[in-house]
Amino acid sequence: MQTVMYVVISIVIAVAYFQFLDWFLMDMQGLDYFYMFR
Amino acid sequence: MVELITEAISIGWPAFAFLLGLVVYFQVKLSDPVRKKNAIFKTCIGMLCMFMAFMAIANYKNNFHGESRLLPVSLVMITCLTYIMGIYFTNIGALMKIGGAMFFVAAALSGYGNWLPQVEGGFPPPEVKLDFQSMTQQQLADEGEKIIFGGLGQSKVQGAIGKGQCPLCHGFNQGFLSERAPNLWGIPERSAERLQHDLYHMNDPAARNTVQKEAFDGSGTATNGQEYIAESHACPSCFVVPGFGVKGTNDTESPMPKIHKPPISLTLGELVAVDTWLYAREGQESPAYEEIESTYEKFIPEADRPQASADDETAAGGVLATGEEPITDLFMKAGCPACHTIPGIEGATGKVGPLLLEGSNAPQRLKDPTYKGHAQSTREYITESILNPSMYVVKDFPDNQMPKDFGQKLSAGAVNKIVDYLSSLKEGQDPPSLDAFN
Amino acid sequence: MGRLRSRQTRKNILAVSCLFAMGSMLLLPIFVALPALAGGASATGGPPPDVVAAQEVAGEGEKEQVEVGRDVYYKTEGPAVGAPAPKTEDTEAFYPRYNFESRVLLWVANQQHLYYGSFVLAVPIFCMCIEFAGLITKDKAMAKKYDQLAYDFIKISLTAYSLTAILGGILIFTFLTLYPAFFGYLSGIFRPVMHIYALMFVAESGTLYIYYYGWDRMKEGLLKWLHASMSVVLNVIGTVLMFLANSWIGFMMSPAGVDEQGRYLGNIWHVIHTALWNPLNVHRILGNMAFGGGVVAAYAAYRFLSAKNDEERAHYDWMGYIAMALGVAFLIPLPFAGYWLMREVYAYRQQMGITLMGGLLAWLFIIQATMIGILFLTTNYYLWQALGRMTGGERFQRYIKYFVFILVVGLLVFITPHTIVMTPAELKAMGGQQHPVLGNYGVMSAKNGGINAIIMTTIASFIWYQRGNRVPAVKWAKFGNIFLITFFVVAHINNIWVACYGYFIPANVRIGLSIPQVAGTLSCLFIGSALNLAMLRQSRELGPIRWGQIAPRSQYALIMLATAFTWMMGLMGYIRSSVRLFWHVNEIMRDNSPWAYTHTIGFGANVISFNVLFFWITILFVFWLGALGAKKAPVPATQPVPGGAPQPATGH
Repeated sequence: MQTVMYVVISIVIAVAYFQFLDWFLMDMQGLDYFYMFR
Repeated sequence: MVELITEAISIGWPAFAFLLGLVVYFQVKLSDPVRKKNAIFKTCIGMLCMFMAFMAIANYKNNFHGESRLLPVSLVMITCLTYIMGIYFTNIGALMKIGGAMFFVAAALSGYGNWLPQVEGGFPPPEVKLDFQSMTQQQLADEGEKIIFGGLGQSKVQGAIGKGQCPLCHGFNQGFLSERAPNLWGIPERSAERLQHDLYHMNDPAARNTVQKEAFDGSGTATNGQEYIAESHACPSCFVVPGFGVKGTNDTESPMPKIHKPPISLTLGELVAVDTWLYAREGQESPAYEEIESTYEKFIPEADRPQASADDETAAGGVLATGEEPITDLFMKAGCPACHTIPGIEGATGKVGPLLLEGSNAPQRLKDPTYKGHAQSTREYITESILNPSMYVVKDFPDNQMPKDFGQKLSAGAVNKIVDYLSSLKEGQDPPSLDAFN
Repeated sequence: MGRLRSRQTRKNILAVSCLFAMGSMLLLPIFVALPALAGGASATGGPPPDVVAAQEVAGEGEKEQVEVGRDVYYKTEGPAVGAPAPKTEDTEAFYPRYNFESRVLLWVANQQHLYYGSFVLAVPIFCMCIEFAGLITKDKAMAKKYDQLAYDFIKISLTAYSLTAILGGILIFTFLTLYPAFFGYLSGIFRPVMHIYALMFVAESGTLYIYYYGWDRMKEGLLKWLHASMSVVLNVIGTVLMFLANSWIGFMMSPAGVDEQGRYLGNIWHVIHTALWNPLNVHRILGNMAFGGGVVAAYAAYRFLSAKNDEERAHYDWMGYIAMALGVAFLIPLPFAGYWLMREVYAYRQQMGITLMGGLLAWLFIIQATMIGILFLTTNYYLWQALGRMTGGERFQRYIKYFVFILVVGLLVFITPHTIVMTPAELKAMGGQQHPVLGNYGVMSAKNGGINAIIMTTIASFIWYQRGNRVPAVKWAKFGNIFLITFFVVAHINNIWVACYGYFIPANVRIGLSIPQVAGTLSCLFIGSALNLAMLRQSRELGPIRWGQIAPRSQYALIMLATAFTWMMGLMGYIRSSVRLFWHVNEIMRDNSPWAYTHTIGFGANVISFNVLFFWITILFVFWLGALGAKKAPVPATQPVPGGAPQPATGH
């Protein structure tokens, strides 16, 4: 149970981190990261 | 293979002889059978390695320049050699094994490089400077068309314009409107007729009423049709076709810039190309290159002849100016000085368009009741005049004279820079320092 | 006792002041050089002093007309004080020659000088790092070990240093005899800094010699710190030297500070600070470090393989590991510096970039891509082998195959070309410039994905290695482990996602994707290793690291690494140099020699191989000399060291 909790927390942090990183760095270049979804 | 072996032996025979001598020497000199055996064995191994090394060298020698794909083979042989030596000569074993490993890596990479498709760069193209002299008539004419219109076949396209900027004022096709300058259709025949014109004063330049009487002191006047064309390029004011002079000068001054001077600066070779096209397009036999060139040499002194420059970036259809260049260059590239007089810009003495004292002019034009544009300020007025010249046409100047595609040919930065400069020009004031705009 | 101490203090003070005197004398050339450089630097505002001076000269006396020229790159104006670039012809006067291709001779001379030069510039940087590591470490035995290692490093570079100078001389002679017109022109342009360059070289030698020979004298207290700071001075001088040398090649590729005819315009800073100078500087520093690490690792491998006893083996195993780790540490940012350089090349002249990446030289980049892949694969292989010397390292063995899988897939994607020069027949056979299926992998974002996957896997291998014989014992170890694994998995998924995403969006947006991709990889590097180190602060050891107990094949991996580094350096140098095509100085001075064409890849590869082997034969000789000297030194008695790492076997 604890393991599952840890995995879920880790995934949330990591995915959020990478998505933020991608978005932030694209935004910094004046580009639209979510281009395909608009 | 046999060739390689004989080659190897022929290169390496002194070494083999030496090693053979060593074998004999050990045989005779050493008495201890174990040491003798050992020494002779090692020498034999040495001979084997030596043989392989010379094979490799022979291979390398044969293939250095030609098909060198066998080179890796020789490298592999050297690799084997070093390993054999590493095994038998233990005191330098590590060195040999490392050497072998390195040879192997290098051989593999060399082999990879040779395995890939082989492309050779070939010799560089001839100097970018076009060698007009060695061209055929047709090539010359093609170059001429490029200079005038910016590309082959562009002479039929409305508004096409090249380095020479001629179509800005001249019409080239029969019946085309040509208000500011004579239509050049039929010029090969007409040029000779012009010499007989009342105002031309052949062989008597002093009698001319124009502001400039000769191309340069002592140049004299044209004496045949081709010389007339050359003189008109080099000294447009020497003879002004009636009705085409600068307004108010009573046809004593031509609005056309000297074609060998900035901003246009055609070289003699380019001028020859232009003239060749003028003949060729009417199906006439053009004079030879040297013949045309000599007519220009008559009217352009040696010191004034522009040198061919290697870079000619302003290709047709491309951006004329990016705004990065210093202000003078910017004006030259955009071509403004060909028609306009711009105080402070050297060579900008054109008379086709109005004098650009826009710091003083613009406010007045904005007040003009006939002004129908949208500009509110001086800067806006200048920008509008560049991008949309027909919005307001200055009195006494014809409409549709200025190209309407500067919006495509100038970057926003370039337009801004031009506006900056022009808005700072005021009547009765010295033009600003150019440094501020570079 | 007191008198003794005061005498000691006096001696110390004397030594320090002597050192300062020496140091300031050595730095004198820099101060002499400063006004000249400052004169150039101030040119951005107002006319440079030289211009004013030239105008004054023009104004008075001779009334000499100084023509004004316009800078081809900076577009500023200046007096054309220099001679125009000579227009050469294919004659003996411009291109004297032996009965051999002059260009290949120059190529070899240049490359050899460069190899030695970068080696002697890189090693002091290692020395500095290791000496400082020894200074700040609390563990006395470890400190001594580091110090000994730094000394070993500098000892190797000393012999190489004199060889560098000799090769530099040979290079200049080659230039003067084979390309006199070109060399004359270049040295005319760089005249203001030529002597600074020479003086810097003197300063470098002086500092190096004091640094090396003063090692024993300056091993205690304050003097040790001084000694360590001398290594900083040494490196500053070395770096400035390299920057100056780079300005030559920068000028040849992307000239500035001259007008269209190649006349010098009186501003040396413009000549030095060309469009590609800084990217080249960064790329070269990193490259030199990676290369230096490779060479030192090869040295260690050589000593390991020729070691007579376990102690020696242990020491050189350790040395090889450190050198390899340093080399790879600089290898990881190297591709990013390469991207920067490439972007600047494209910004400077698009045509030049196209020649490199999609034109004539594109196949060479495929070799390069393959080699980068090989380098990372070899690094991984070494690390996996190195796990063998740790108790507990076997825990990781069964996962290696998955890593191999990721690496191979990444490599295959990475080396797939996008467009390539082809014959018309080949074009027809393939149905266009791009392969219908494989061509898809050639898109930049996919390639970036490939190399990033490789780098991330290498980072993961490193983390494994750090954990080889240890188990984290912090309270949050379980969460930490899970998080670390998840982080890497998500990083890989993100990398693949971004790589695929690139296909669905327009090219201008796609280009921007490489930055998040790189950032993701760097996150793995920094967050991953920081987290790992934090977790290992409290850890349970499963057993000692058995230095020296590693399969000999691992040492061949080091040698492979070193050779591949050398080869790649030769290759990249060739690419960088041949992208000028038929120009000596790009768009300023044409190469009209019979060798102005570009060779085939095969010929280039052969010459590179020759250069590599020549370098290694000579440097193995240098190593052998070093070992020869070391044999006479007595082997000091070893003391047991915490962690079981034995003492170095050689003394100074």
